[in-house]
Amino acid sequence: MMSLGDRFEVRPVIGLEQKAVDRAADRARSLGFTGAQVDDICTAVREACLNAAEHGTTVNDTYEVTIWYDSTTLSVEVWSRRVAIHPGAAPPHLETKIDGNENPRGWGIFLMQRLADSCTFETRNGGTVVRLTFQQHRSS
Amino acid sequence: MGLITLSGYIASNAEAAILKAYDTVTQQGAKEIRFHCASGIVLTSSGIAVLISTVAKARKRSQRIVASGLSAHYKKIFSMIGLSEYVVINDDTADKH
Repeated sequence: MMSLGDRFEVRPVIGLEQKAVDRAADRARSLGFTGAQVDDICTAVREACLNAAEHGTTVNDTYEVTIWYDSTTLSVEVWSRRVAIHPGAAPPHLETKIDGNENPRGWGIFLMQRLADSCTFETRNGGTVVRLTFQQHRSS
Repeated sequence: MGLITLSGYIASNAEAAILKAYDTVTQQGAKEIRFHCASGIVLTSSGIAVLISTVAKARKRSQRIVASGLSAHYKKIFSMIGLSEYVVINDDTADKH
């Protein structure tokens, strides 16, 4: 059973996601996650928030961040009121982007999926929940 | 060599400044473009997209792209997305983990 660590709303302004990044990082450090894992958590959480801000909200909206944890696991949910993710989209392909045949953007979901141990998307109340889960890896 | 220093929070709103800096050093005849990442930099996915746009321009001009100052985390991300195949990564950062 995971414990609720934090829940708050964030306005969809670039940079304001830092609150979610900081709270997730603080919780991860307190659980004993390594520095490299905390860096991964920061980037993945930032991308989830930026995605919600850019695609899942309107200017006057907010998105909601919830942090759950247990002794070895950190989970961060980002809920936006609109559909913010199309997970069926083809993965980005760098060579195609460099050749100019594809928009150079589109790395957010890719990074979340690669940096988190689990990255899921679900529909809730007409919006999107991105859930990032990180397992503590003991340092060697 | 044209040096472009990246610092702070790099997202899509840095595009104009980065492309302007790139154009400036290119007009000065740079055959190598060096992106130096200052300590504490935050590179978002849209900031990475700006770098990809710059790499694309540089390749058309046969310019070499070098990145320096990258933390281990961003070196990993460059490798993850494949950018390290297009950008020479200088191993010049002592990470503090």
